[in-house]
Amino acid sequence: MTAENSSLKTRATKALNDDSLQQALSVIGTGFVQKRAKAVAACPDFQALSDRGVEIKEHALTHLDHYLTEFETALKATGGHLHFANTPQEARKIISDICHQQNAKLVAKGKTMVGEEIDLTHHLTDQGFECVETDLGEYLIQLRDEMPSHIIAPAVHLSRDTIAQDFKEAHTSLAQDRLLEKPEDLVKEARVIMREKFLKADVGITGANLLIAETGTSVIVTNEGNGDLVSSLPKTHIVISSFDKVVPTFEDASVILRLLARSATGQAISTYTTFTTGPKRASDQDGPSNFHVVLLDNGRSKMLGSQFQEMLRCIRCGACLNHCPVYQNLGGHAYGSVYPGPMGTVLSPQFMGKQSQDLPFASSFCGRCNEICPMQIPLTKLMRFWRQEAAKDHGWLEKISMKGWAALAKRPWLYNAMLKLSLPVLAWTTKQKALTKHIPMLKAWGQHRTVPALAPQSFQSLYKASQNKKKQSQ
Amino acid sequence: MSMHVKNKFFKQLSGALTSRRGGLEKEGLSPANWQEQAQQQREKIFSKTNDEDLVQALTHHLTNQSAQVKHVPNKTAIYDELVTIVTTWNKAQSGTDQKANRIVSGKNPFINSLFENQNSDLTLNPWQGQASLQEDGLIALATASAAASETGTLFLTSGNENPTPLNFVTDSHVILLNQADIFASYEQAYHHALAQNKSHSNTMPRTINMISGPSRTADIEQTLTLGAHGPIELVVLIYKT
Repeated sequence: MTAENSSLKTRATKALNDDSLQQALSVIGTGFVQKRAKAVAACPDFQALSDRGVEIKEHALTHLDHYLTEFETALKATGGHLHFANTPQEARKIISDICHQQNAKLVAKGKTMVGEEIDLTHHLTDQGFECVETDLGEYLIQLRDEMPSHIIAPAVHLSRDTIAQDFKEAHTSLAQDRLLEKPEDLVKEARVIMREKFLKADVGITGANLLIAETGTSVIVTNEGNGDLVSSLPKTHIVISSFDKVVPTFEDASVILRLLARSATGQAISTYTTFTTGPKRASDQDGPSNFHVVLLDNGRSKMLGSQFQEMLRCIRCGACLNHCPVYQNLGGHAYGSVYPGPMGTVLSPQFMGKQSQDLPFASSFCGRCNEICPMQIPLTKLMRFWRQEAAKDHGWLEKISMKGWAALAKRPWLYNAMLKLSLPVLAWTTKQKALTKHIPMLKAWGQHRTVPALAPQSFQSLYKASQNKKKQSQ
Repeated sequence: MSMHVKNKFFKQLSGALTSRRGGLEKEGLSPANWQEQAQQQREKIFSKTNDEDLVQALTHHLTNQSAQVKHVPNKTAIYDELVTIVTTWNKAQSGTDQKANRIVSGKNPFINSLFENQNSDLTLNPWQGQASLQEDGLIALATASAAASETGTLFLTSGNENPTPLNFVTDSHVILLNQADIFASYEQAYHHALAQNKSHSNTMPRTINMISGPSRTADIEQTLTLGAHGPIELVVLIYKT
């Protein structure tokens, strides 16, 4: 996982001033949000499903050692291999070692957020493999060497004109004057380009939305079908995932599947849900002969038993991104992490450490994310824990200001006296519209909006005056 | 996997797990109890509701998800319907010179029996793995083991009868579904599909595909576009026996 070295503030300002990004983002608040609302309303008792989903995840996490062992036993019985990786480096090495062993040239990748977390594609390319993203959105950002800007719609920030331009630059074997106007033209071209890759790939890599302990099964959910070609055509199939995806049985997986698509894209179910158990059977003509599951920790085991453990329930549906007013205005890249939005502001400091400790401040704490989360994760509560952590590193100015504020707030007589003295000055200043753009604290607000002028008297003094007036008239 | 890494990992987890369990033990939900609950649920779920309702719900959802659903009264009517599907498909491919001889399927006894003693241009091409992948204009034919009406979802199990890649590589995909194999929920359909598989294999299939429509993407400006990597067209043929 790579992060830009700039601060959240710098990236946010850049995003707000990027007109084409703002244009692309305008569909998120309407598209995803409305579709989810409709799908949830059409689902009989979504709340009960959500409650059950929470119960399942809590149970699985509590008995993680049991279910991981069960998963491993079942997987091994089918001839599959399980690998544990503590760090992204370890996971990358396990995967590139398998590719080397197979003398692979071409690696086809399905969409995997854990793969993004460990920056797998870059690593495999550096190791000399040709590594192709096959999910259309992931392919689009691979052409641009960008990070995904959304966990389920990685290229949501791109306009079709930009994509058409990228295709003309990348697919040089095709006629330069071909028409690439409609989304269908672009999808068709990607289909043709990609088909060749599927057929030639030596290794296929996918993620997993769920792992079923009972049968040693990995589950992936796609709409395109790319994950299925990746997992069924190459001779070797590697699943990269993390232990928090484990559930005990198919019944448990069903509950989570019912929550996932409705929360994510607003579909009742994604087009393809695929259950993969081990390599191909001895009698099977098709399918990979080698099957590996790599489970990444990367700090997750530290979350277990900590104040952040509820975050391990996350099923990566992206609903909190779609409903977040900050995400809706900034898009994903401003977060500087592969996990953006509310879930990203909680996960990224865990995975990336101090370089992303300003992310939990990218929230208005409106709490919409808490409300729509199908796994009922108290996201703002968890962000607050990170803010407390980050505050320890904040400068002396903030500390003194906070102490000063506390001193005032605890002494009403002092507070009122200070207010009386400062209000006339503040009231005058906020009336000078030309000035507010330049005053340090008001600058950020005043650049895009009018700063409301303060009343010259406080509410308390006005109230007192009106009470006195009443008394006198009685 | 080296045992060392796994043990280290489990050691890391153990402290947190013990403290979590302390709080949750009073609920009495040990993995053994959880398993037992799942088993009880499985025994209960096979009570079927009205067939006609299930067919209607399945058809409704599949149609909404851009699939075509066709109903035929019996097994012998399937072949004629296939001829219609292939002819329609070929007509839609204007400018191409395709004969109605482009159906491909796995070594599927049920499908083979449909083509016996038929005198029409329509014949069956056997699936030949990589070789079949190079061909254009094929129509894939497969059989579903079960379906769940709750979201219009078909369950297909892998094996030489229904090779998994075949479900994804062609432009058009036709799935045959016996009306008696339609259930209400994923759980029912899944266990029915596994039971069907058990009748001819002693292992669980490598792949179980839940398919709920033709391939699609909304990655370009959130506009729904069909046929991203998999089939552009999905036809579900529901027959009675």
